[in-house]
Amino acid sequence: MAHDNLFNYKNFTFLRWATLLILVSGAAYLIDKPKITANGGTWLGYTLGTIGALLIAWLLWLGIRKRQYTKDSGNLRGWVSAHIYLGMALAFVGTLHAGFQLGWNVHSLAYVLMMLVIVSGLWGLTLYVRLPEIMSNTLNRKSPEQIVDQIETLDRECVKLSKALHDDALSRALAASARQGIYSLASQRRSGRVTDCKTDAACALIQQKMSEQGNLIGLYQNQVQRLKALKQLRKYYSMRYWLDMWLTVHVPLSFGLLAALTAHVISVFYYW
Amino acid sequence: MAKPEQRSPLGQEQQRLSRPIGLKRQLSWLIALPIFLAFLILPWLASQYPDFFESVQPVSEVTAQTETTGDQTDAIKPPLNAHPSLFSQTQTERKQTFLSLDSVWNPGPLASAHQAWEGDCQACHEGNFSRVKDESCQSCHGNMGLHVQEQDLADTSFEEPRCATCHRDHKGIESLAEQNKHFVGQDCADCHSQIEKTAPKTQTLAVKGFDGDEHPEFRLTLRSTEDAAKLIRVRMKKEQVLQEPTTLSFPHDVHLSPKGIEGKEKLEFLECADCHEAADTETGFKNIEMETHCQDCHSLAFEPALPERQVPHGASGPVLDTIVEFYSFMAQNRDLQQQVTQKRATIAARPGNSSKPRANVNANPLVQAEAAAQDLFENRACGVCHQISISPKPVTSQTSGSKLTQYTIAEVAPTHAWMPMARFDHKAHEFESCSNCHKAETSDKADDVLMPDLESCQSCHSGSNSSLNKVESNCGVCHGYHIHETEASSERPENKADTVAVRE
Repeated sequence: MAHDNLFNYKNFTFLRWATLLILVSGAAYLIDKPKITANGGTWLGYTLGTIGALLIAWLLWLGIRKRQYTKDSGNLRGWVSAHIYLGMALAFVGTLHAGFQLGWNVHSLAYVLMMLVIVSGLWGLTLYVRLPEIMSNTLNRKSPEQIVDQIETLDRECVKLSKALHDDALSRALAASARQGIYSLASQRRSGRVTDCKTDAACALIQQKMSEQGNLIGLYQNQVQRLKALKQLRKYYSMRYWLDMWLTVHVPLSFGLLAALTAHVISVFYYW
Repeated sequence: MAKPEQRSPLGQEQQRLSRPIGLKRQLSWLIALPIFLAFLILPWLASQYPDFFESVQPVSEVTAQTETTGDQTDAIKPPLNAHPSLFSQTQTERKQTFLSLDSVWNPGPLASAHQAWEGDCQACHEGNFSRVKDESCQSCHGNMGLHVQEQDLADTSFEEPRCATCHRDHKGIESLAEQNKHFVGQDCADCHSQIEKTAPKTQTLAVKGFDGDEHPEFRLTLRSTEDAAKLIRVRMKKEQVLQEPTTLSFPHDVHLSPKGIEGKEKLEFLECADCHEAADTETGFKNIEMETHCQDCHSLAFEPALPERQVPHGASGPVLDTIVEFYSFMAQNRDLQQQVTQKRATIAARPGNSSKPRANVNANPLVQAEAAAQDLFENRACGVCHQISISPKPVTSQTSGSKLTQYTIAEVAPTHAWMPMARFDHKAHEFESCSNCHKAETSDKADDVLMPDLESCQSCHSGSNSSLNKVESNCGVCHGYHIHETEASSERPENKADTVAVRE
């Protein structure tokens, strides 16, 4: 591959580190014979816990690092690559630290939050793998602003074309179509589909009336193009919504984890 | 780029959609802050400043969970096994954390005996980043023996560890002592594998584990051959049966013979359990009783003609009394004399009868009694099992038997455990036949110490490493750690094994 991407950054260097971490901690867990049960209180438990806590602190640091545009402590792509692989390894280290035990307490709360953060990260990763390419294909080398401009041009053209019309119903439909935005309801952003689209309705009406009135072909093309442009924007912004949404889940959960982790570490030693 | 107010509604919508959702910061606070408060700040405040929290009931350490009714200031007694110092100490008033807010920190279920304190962390944890102190444990477990007695300390480099070194709570409801039976192997071996370095003067031999020659032969607590009142510790040797003086004659091999043993009426085939009945005693078995276990065959009849008339089993005085009183009674009872004479004649006529003919029934009752007593003590009954000797006649003659020859029966030493410190449950081994461990079938002396040897245990038990078809057995399966100075042992000096043996 010509460029390093998030996965093969520097020839999978962070995948190697993460694999090494998993293998070493897994082997230690298998070799170690804890006196009673495997748990966070054995020497291996404390070691894995320390590694896990340092990992969490470092993974959270990405949120700060990505805002430091001028820093040269490694390339940001490298940081994200390490964030992904070491974040996945954390699930393994954390589970071994817990000794596969869960209960109704702050310790398990931290564990569950950690796993949720990792799962949401994996979700975000699948979005980042698929969506940007689809988004750029959807917009077809235009910017959303350019498409908006294109729609506005189509609307002005439509006004001209519809001046000669003496069909009230059609005029009303076209006026409604011109008012039709990208989404009718905010919730439609999730699916990217607008079921009550007025431009779609106008297209259908023109098509229906074309057999009676022969001069509607221009208007029809105009409305079809408008609908196509709207659908581009709808698909684009829906994907952009999800790209933003996973992070809206990932980041607050991470801060929840930070709070639970702090409580976990302090409480364990407060009542040692 | 056009200013927002100049843009079309569509343009404005597009601008709006281009902006991020922008809830990350708010949601982060919304999740992190309650967690921080509920799981750290609030429990900490509640444990640190109980006075700030209303309606907190002052409770004593001991009754943290029990309902406190009536006068709160009543002094609450520490538990029965509490450390003596606690009885004199004034109970410190401690307040339980409000609503057990700190129990969100509980990492796992407490041992069943500790579950009453599940909501009262400070019963054990001080809450100042210090580890659980032994004093917390000892406020209830005051009578736990140390591993090394104080007088021996000078000879060792041993330091008693913290209670929590071995006893880890919050690991499930299994009792902490039970936990340690299975998990302390390596800790013991740390010192005991080279015990001569840790405790140069100890008589204990080095132990690495339980496999092969990792464990020395067992050391038994036995009565001294020189002084039966003295207990000494003797190490077993391979292929050698130790002896412990009993003053008894009892050949196990004869009684357990596969060919059977002559009984009262027919051949009897005895089993171990016919005499050794399981019971909750120090040895795990009921004492053997003459009346229940022996007398069916070993009759105490003194007049062959009247086998149902028997002397009581016990001291020789009442035995002699019974004999004298019987013959005195017979001297005045013609019917009885006739009956005895006839029966004696029948017995004498039996082929193969070798018993010494008795004096005539009309003879002096004392002469008859003397003959019967001599036969009973020396030939037929007492002397079969006991060591008997003739003792001087009593000065006063207040009992009917005092005119006869006086016999002394050697005192039988009471049974005691050969390995009093070891944990062994016969019940847990009941599926095993006795003879697999105890070589009673080849023992012809009561003095034989029929304790199974190390190899016998090793045939089923491996050490801490699991081995095919063997029970993985850590040190704690058989050994205790705490050497308790029990009331019983301090009162009964013979129970304190005199450690005279030197290291072999």
